[in-house]
Amino acid sequence: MILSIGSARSVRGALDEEKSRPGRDGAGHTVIHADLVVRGELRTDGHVEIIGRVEGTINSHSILVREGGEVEGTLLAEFVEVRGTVVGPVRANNVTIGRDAVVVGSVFHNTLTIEPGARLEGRRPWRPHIDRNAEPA
Amino acid sequence: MFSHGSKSSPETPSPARETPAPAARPSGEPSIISADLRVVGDLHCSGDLQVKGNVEGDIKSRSVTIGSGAHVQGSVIAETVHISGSIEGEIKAPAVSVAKSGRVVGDIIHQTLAVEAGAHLDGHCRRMDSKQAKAAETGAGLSSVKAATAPLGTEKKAAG
Repeated sequence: MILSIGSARSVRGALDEEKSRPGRDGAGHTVIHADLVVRGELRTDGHVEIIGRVEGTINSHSILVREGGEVEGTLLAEFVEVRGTVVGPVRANNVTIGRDAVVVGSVFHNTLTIEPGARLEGRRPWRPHIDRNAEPA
Repeated sequence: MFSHGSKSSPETPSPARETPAPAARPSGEPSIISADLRVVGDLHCSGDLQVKGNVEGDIKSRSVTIGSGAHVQGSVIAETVHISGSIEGEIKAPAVSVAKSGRVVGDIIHQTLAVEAGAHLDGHCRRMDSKQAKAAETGAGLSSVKAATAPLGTEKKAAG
């Protein structure tokens, strides 16, 4: 298990300037802006950036929940970065939780980075590998 | 290890939520549903929405652009709708335009309608009167999105 707290400066923002970063296989970049509310399930092999609100499961290659973004549901991905609010389990191989983030729910991870100030409630079980196509969402 | 003592309870998760902020905040930029994204569920937007992927569900927004590779199964209610892709469902908007790559299976309820030669249209084209048009404008706006969502944190804690 790799757990690093406090020295997250290099990792912070790793996914921040991801506007041009393609997901796996050059797949797309979805932006849920502040004025959008999605009620349902999202599934993609690309990158999802949430500045608005999602109620439901998100299954993606990478997920970024920005400050002000809210997710109520499961996050299932290779990379997850939370800077907003997530209520629900997070299942990802690489999880970063920012200092203003609120995560209520278990964080299943392979690598976990938590910045000082993050608010967490739930277990943080380490799993050797999370396969988002096999994991029950 | 973590400062559990200073954590807020789930009922008041973060400072940003202490004042009951509207669930949808105005944003200048359009939200984008990219080509490889599949959404099974509804989209409520008070601004602009660009759909390039697949949506199975209803869309309510101020403006909706359905891109050429996009496929929507469900109704679309907005102020302005541009269709270059495929939609199976009813479209209700004061201003509707269908490009020649567009394919609409369902009724189009409109005030102004533009259809390019080559577009595939299969449904009734009915005109809405100005009273319905006004209702569509306010209905697709911020107020309905605010009313439809409850502030996060008032829901019970999700099971871990």
